[in-house]
Parts: sequence; structure tokens; C-alpha cells
Amino acid sequence: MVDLDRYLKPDQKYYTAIGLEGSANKLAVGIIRHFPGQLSESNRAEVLSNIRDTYITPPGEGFLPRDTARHHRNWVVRLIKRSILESKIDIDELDCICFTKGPGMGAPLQSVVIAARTLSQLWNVPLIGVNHCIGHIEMGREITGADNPVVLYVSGGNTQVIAYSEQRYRIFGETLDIAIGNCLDRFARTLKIPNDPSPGYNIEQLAKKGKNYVELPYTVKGMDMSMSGILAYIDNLANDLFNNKKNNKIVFNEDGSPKITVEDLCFSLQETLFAMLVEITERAMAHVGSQQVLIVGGVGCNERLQEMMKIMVLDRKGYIFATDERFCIDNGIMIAHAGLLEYRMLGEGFDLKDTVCTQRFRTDEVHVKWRD
Amino acid sequence: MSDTIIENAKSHLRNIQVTVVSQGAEAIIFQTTQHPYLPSSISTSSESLKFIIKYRPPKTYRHRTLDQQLTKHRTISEARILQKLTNIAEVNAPSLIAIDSRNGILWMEHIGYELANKDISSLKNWLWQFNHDESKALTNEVQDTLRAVGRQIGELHKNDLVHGDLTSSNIILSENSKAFLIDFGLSSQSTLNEDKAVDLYVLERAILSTHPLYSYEYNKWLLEGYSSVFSGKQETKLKEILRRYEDVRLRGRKRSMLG
Amino acid sequence: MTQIKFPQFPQFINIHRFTNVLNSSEIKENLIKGNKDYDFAFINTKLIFSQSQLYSAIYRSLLELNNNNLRTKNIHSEILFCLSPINNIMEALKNFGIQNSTFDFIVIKISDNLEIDYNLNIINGEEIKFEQINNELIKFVDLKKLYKIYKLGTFKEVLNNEDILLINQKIINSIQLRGQ
Repeated sequence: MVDLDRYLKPDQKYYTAIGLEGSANKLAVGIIRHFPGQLSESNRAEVLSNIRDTYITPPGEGFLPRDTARHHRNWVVRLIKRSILESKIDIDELDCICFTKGPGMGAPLQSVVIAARTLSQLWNVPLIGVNHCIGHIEMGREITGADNPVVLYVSGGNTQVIAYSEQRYRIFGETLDIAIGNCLDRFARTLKIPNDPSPGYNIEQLAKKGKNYVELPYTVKGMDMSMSGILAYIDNLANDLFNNKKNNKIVFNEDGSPKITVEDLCFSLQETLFAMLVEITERAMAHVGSQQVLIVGGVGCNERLQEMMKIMVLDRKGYIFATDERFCIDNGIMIAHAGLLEYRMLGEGFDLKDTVCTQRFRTDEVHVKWRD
Repeated sequence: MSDTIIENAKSHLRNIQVTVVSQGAEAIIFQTTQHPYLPSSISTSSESLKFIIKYRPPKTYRHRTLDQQLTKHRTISEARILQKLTNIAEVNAPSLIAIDSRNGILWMEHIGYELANKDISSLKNWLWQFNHDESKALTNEVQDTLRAVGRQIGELHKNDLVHGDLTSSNIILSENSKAFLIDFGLSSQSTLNEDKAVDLYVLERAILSTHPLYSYEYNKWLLEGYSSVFSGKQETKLKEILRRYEDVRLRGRKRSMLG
Repeated sequence: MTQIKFPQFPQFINIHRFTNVLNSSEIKENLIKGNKDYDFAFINTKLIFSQSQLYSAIYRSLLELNNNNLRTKNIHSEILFCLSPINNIMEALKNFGIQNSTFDFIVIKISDNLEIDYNLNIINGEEIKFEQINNELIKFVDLKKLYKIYKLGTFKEVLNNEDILLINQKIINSIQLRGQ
């Protein structure tokens, strides 16, 4: 058992941390409380505040780093103030200020880290940089109670299958090119559907109305998968549909009427991509000998994905864990939580020079000191 | 899981007595003494009275059409690899007996024999016999065997085929010490050094985890055998594969994340 | 006549062997016409190299039958189609079926019944024992043609045991994988 309280001060009743997240288009702030001792069923972390503002672009457009960073700069002070009010904490109670060090988009990450550094110097509170993926994993474990699951981390920027081993979250399978959220978002742009509340959510709703399964390439390679080929293929089908390319016999009947709808395409895309995810997750489970699966990351909110994963896991007589949109979509509380775990092991914050953020930051680079 | 899937399998294998050998994420391996179309008194090869049936069960989480396509496609791909290997004299692999691609069934020759402890003669189990005795673990016989295994992998790669799941359980030794590669479910044609390097790396890690004490020698001998098949003009090809192998070892797995 | 049955399928496989057949052209004509009295598989012996070749083709055709996936008119034409490495029924019939000059052939009748409820009076020839053993079958084989049809590589006139095993395996591979 790792001692999480080696730096607990004599009269300290709890730990409190604030977390700032902005690696993509969501700016989020969270405040968390840990009580001394191991985190367990009877000693759960307390969420004091968890708020977010999403930068939403018009239909057909993706979010660019510069504009996203501007959004974050505009909202960060507001959100932090609101969060502190909501949590009812005193600033002196803060043990640390946690921020997303990476991975993510450069400019947005920068905006947030500058806010973090500023607060740290203003309030004289130590800084902790957090790996975004570790944030998702640790928050997922805490909220669901899954102690040692195979983790499927699926979001706009990441697609990985992860299992814990010897103080590292090791990557067993991953995307060979783009992330699944990115694939879905880009298809949403092709379809010019709204980005509010999120493109992935809107694809999911369209998919529910899909009836015809359209055959798409299926690209699992061992423990990994690739998606750029599928995206190119389905973009092509959609464009032929919109541009009335009647000679495409997959899209149009002999008489020129369309064989498939936009809903069918969304349905088929989900069925194919999610089947691939479930397959590589199953491979990891078999390889590692695990009976638990935890899904984290924005795409984890998708009900069809959860349903498919559940079928596979139950077939193997295992257990599936997933969180709701408060925690699977990027949030500040996960940063606060993971950051606080790290802080409890370090007893101090990062040197300012170590608070540089980084676009590339692999999950397995982090030394997970707070677990055995 | 097991029971319904086995019932499913049996419905496609009516009147065939099967015993389960193993269950993976993707397929179940059965063993039987019945040949699908030859009378019991006659067999094609010298001695084999046992046959392997590989069954890919339907995956209910997948859309039915996708599932049927995948099952069929993968069964056929694997059979095609076995066909290719028949035409490569230097590589030892099981022979194809029959295929029912629609139902995900592949019948193959059974390779290997029962070791003293009743386990199948996979490289993993065979080496395990000597794990606790240094005098037996590093003999000439072990060295020759590992070199032979290395040569098999070398010949496979020389023919631009990669195994895709090269653990020490997927290498079987016959009674006359021939090394066979089995389970080509993740195999493919590839000219990429990366793919060949990953094959080697997977085997290295498998040996390291099951035989940590002697893994240095074992991997050295494997590589000796592997390298020996790339002679003359092939040496540049070998160098490139080995260089890539070093890269793969250093980074452990793959590319950096894109965030 | 030899009767066999594969464990997985209910059908009975009746194998007859004929020699000195005088009316091959008449049989062929009736087959083309689709005459119901000629519902058999007529296979010339020139390309039947081994028992496993023949039986693996019958196995495949029964599999397709039981999966409701026949690619040809009936089970008998399916057997001929399965023997062929080329995905073309006309080629299969041409190479493996009977021609006007065929005097030796194998006749196969797939039946749901154990009892023989048909006759082979339409054949003007001598019924002999169907020798299942490979040594016997090989006597009638046109080896060069076999090599060509199944793409077996460099022609080798004299075959040792290893050669035979390899040829057999290549043929089985072709039969099992053709058209998949």
C-alpha cells in the first residue's frame, strides 16, 4: 500500500485542489477534496465544483488553435471565480493548482497554463502539471470504483487501450493515425451538421435513425486500429450523395433514387468504428487477463459504444464501467483529482520551469507513484 | 460465454467429437480425431490421427452483416496464408484440410506432441521444462532448437510474410525437433521492416517474460538462426530489419501521441 | 460400388467406376440437355490424382449444399465445379467431366437414402471396383495436364512420397480456397 499522506500536516483535515483544463475546445475548472487515507468505497473524493464552457464553432467548421485559445482566455477568469464561489472554499485551503500539461493543442494549453501560473504566484500555491489522459483514467476509476480495469480512452484527440502495470499506464493498443473523436468530428463537418452541443452527439442522434448498414473498410491491425481510410471512404460516399453522383451504385439505385441516407451513413460509421474499438479492447482483456473495462474520454458518452462494449464484456462474464457526461467529456475535476494524487506523493509543486506544456505527452511517460 | 459458443460450434460440426484446446479473444481451438472427409483407416500424412478445428464464433456486439463479413474474410485470409506457406518449402506450417468460411471454421493438421507433463510441445512449454535447471537450459540441443526457430521466422520474413502474433506459444516443436509456426490469424503479407521488427520484438518480450533467466542467450540464438537465412544479397535487407528492431526495442511501442 | 458418408452431412455418397465405355458422346449430349435420368456426376479419371482430392471436392460441394449456397444447378455439377481450380463451370466440365473420347470415368451419385434406388443402365460400359488407393488412381492420371491445371510448378515425371504429399496438399488448397 502506497502512503498517500506522507506530507499531511499535523492539523490538516483534508486536501483541496483546483484543476484547470483546456487542451481542446472545452475550458473547464474543477475543485476537489480528498480526505486522508486511501481512496476507497468509504473514502471517496468530494467534488466541490465542476464547471465547463465549450467553444462551439458554426456547422461545417472545426475549431482552430488560435480561436480556441482566445475563447479560453476570455472565459478562464470567469470560470475560476464561479468555481470558487460554488465550492465555498477559502483560497487558503488550496493545497495546489493543477493544470493540463499535455497532450493537446498548443495555444489553448498555453492560455490555461498562463492562468495557472499567474494564480500560483498571486496566491502562493504550488503548481502541478497533469497528463490529460491520466486525468481521465484516475477520475474514471474514482467515480466508478473500478480498481484495475482495461481502460478504453476515446476522445477527439486520443484513442488508446490502456492497462496498469508496475506504476505505469501502459498502452496496449492505439490508433495508428487519427483519433476516433476526430474521425467523427470531421465527418460531422462533411455533413455540415451543428457542433452544438458536440458534433459527436449529433452524429449519435442521426445514427439512431439509420436503418441500412453500408459496408465500410474495417481496419484493425493486431492490437491497433486505423481510421483515416474509413473517413476518406465515407466522406466520398457522403459527397457523392450530396452531389448526386448517380453512377455510384453504392449510393444510388438504378433508377437514380438514393439507396442510403445520411442517417444510414452515421449508423454504419458508428457500427464499424465501435466494433473496432470493442475488438481491440477484447484483445487487451484476453492478453492481460482482466475482467473489467472502463471507458473514458468524450466519445465514451456514446450510448451505442457503451452498449456494444457491454455485450462483449458480459459475454466474457466481466464488468463494464463508464461515466456520464460530467466526467467523460473533458473536465477540470479530473485534472484536480490526478494532480492532487501526484501532489500528495511529492509534497511540493513543480518548479516554474517544469510547468511548460507539451502537445505530445504519452500516457506511459508518467510515473504513477500513487499506486503500488 | 463459453457454453453457448461451444454449442454454436458444435451445431456446425455435427457428429464430430471435439475437445477444447484453448479459447482466445477471437477464436476457439478444438481438437478431434475425426477427419472431415477421409475414412478413418487412411490419412494423408504419415501418422497424424489428430486434427485441429479453429472456430471463429459470431460476435453479437457487431452488426450482423459486418460480423458475417469479418468472420468469412478472416477465415479465408488465414487459409490463404496456409496455402502460401505450402508453396514455401523452407517454412513449416500446418496443412489446410478444409474450410467452411461462412461459419468461420478452419480444419488443419495437428502439430506437436505431448511433453512429459502432458502439455503440448510449444516452444514455451518445451523451454519451461528446463527453467529450473541451468545444466539443462543452455545445452546444445536448446541452442540448435532456438536457431532452427530463428531460421523459420527468417524464412517467413524473407518471403515478406509477417506472423502478427509471434509468442512462444505459437511455435510448436515436432517430435523430430522441427520447428513449426502456427496460428496465422493475424498474419499478413508485408514488406515493411516495422512489421517484421515488431514480430521479432513480440517474441523477444514473450521469451523475456516466461524465461527471464536465460532470455539473453535464447534471444541471441534466435537471432543467430534468423540472420543465417539472409545470405549474400539479402544482407542489406537483414541489416534494415535489425536496425528497425533496435528502434522498436528502444521505444517500447509506438509513435508519440498527437494530443 | 463404394458407399461413403461424411460425419457432418446426412447425404450418402455412392461412387462407381466404369471402364471401356462406348457411349460417352451420348451421355454427354444428355447431360447438356439436362435429361433427368442422367443426374450423376461423371468425372474422367485423367485428373483424379488421389482420394483426398476427390473427397475434399465432394466435401466442399456438400458443405455448399448444406449451407444453401450451391453455385451450380445441382449437387452433381457442383462436385465437378469444386474439383476445378478455375472459377468457371464450363472449364470445370471441360477438364473434369466426360468428353466424347472418355472411356474411363468415375460416377458419383449423392443420395439421401442408404439404399440404391437408381440404376446405371444408361452407361454402355463395364463397371469395375473403385480403387480408392492412390497407387491405383494415379495409373490413369495425365500428370502433365494435372500440373498445368492445378499450377503445380515445374513438371516432375517420377514422384517420390514427398512429392506426392506436396502435390496433394497443393490440390487440396486449391479446391478448398477456389472462389472464396
